Amino acid sequence: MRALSINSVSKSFGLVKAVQNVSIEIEAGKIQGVLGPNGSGKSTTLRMVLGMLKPDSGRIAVYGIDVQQSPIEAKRMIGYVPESPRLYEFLTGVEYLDFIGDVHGLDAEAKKSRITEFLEAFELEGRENEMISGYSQGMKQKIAIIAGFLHRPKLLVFDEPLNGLDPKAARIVKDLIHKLARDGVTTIFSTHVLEIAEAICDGITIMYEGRILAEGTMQELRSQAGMPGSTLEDVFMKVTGTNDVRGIVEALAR
Amino acid sequence: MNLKLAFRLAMVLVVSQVRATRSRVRLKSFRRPIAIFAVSLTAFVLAFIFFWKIAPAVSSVEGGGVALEDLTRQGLIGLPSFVIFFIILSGLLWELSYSAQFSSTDVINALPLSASEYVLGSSLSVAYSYSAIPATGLGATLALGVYFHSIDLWMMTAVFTFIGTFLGAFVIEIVRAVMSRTSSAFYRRGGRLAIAIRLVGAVLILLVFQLAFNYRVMYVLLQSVMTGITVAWFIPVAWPSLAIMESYQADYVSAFTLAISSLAFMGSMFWVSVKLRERYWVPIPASIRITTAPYSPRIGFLGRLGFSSAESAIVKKDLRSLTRRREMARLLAIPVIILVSMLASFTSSGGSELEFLAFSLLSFSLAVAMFSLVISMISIGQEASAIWNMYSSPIAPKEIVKAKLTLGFLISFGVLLGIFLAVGLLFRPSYQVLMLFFFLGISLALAETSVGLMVGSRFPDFGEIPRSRFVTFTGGFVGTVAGLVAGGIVGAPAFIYAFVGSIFQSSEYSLAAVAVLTILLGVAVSVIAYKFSLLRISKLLKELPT
Repeated sequence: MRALSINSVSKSFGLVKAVQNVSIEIEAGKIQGVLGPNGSGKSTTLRMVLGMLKPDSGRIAVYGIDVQQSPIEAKRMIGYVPESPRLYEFLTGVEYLDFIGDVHGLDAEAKKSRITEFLEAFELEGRENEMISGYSQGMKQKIAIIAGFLHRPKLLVFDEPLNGLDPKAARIVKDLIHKLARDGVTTIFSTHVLEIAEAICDGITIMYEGRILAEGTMQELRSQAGMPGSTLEDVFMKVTGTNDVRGIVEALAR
Repeated sequence: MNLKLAFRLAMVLVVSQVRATRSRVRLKSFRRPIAIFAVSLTAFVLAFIFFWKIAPAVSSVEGGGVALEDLTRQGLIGLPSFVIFFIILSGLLWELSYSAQFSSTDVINALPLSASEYVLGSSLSVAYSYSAIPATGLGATLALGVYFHSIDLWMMTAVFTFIGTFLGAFVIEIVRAVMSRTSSAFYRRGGRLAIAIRLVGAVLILLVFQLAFNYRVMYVLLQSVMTGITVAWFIPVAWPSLAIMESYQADYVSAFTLAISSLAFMGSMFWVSVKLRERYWVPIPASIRITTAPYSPRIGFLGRLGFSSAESAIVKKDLRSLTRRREMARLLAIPVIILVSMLASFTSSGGSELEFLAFSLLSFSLAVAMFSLVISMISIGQEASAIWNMYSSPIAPKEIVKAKLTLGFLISFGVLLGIFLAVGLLFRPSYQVLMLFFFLGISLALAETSVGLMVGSRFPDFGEIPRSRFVTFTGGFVGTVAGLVAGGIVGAPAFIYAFVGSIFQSSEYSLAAVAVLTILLGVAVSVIAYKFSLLRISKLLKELPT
């Protein structure tokens, strides 16, 4: 079954063409990584999946539901973690998660067990009743990630989810995405950390200046780039034309 | 102190404010700091032309010349005090809106900038931002000053208005530091009591500063000063105006003494603000442990009333926002400040019982209406950059509108009850007056909450910048006008009944009919505003603001 269908989507902000004719198809239970340098259109694409931004053209469907036509139904199925999430700082961690549980219509029992389990797993126990304004960046990121998982979404849309996480929390997130994928949960996430993409993704999309440059499994990308046996970093550098950084480094070091 | 650095900082603060608050203005010139100067200059010229044109016309009317000359003298003397009051009031309302969370992470805290450079830079930007008001006053008084050959007095007024502008700006810096101190005092403290004390403390600080520099009270005092000036000599904020008055009365020694004292007072305010800034350099974001009890989800009061879980969740969240955010305390202070300051000035000026009841009816209506309007008008913009939570969650526009209106009305109703009890206990008005207050208050709260949400959803300001207002400048203006119109419509039957029907003597119309009519008008305004709000929120949720 097709979990996510992004069909010929474009989006401009004034004169800037942020996303140009992008199409991505993801089957249920697959993990898709979206890579690209800063400003390549990754976050804009993910926000359009949520219905937070309206495409200028094209169509996006989540499990067959058109995001523009039925945004509420689509959002019920999605768990989202934005890049640098801004939470309600005046709420405590547990109050924020309670709020997210309520807007997703979780019943009291489910809310309690899920929140308690996640807080324990991410080592936030003991700090959950403090206002988020006093949390470190990593703690805020953990809360945002818990909020993304809380309502058992069928599609995870994570924008740089591992930013600021300690190694243990990052490992939990990676393993959880894998485990959920086996249960049929689909994930699309953007990252700059190529090792993570290489380690956990079934498929990879490389974006540059709002367009898709390359797409496929790790094996397919290597052969497309004509670099068998190379790392994702090498492939990425070659595909995006940013492979020669030696001159820049030498100039900066002067 | 590096003056160049202070000016550079002032320019950066002004630029950030102008660009953030006028980002939707198409004309590029209006997004530059020079636009503020242009607006102030235009206000000065227009005020001058207006008063220059009307002065001969007013003087030609019998007694008009004497009255206008008296008004000119009052204006020339009172302008510096008014400007101080205005800058402080605006500062309390708008300058304290930057949350500690963002102030503490500002890059400014990491730069090699001294406290005095920061205070001067910040005060310059405040003075420049609000320059249109002193400019308008100076334009008007210049026209009248020239007409009545008081140009020398006007020059003194101009100098002291300039001093007053900076004095007000320095006081704002003091309040900013005191608020930071209050906020930090609760770092890592526990419990809901800490939240309550923090909130009450913030409201009290705002109230004390507002009353200490209250123009209405000052005006009454200055009026009394006309016959005996000794009392006002002990009020530093009155010194600039007194200096002008003494000069007018040709007592140049006193004028000189007061002028020097005014400068010294301004200098001392600067010194205090620098010392406070040095001490409370970086505000610490509150880290309050609300409870130690384990998490246990509850079905709240609203859930039992049939509200959806999303609606109840938004109401709970917004209530916490109001009581826990430092920048929201100013909103809760609004009704208290209006009531206390108006009553203080009214009490000190005297008046008949009828005038007093009329005045309290007006104060009561104004406090309830303004609070309901403001609390609702900012309810969308206060989501700030966390607004993405609304976009990424499965929440329908109707749920947002319902939740925001419910909270706005419930809080307004609470404030209404508080004011109602205070008026009832303090002044013990008749049953008729009390009933009139009650129905008028409920209808006003309902109508103004709805109108506020309508405007707030059309002109939200999600920016997290110094002087963020949660509603755009245009929105603030439109909201004020719409609120006045709505208040006028809803309040008309009660005011007609009270004054034309003379409730205080004999009543021509039935109180019940007035109550029903008032509530019907309140509901009608509310329904219309609700429909508009729903349309606006639906449109707003179509795309995340970029």
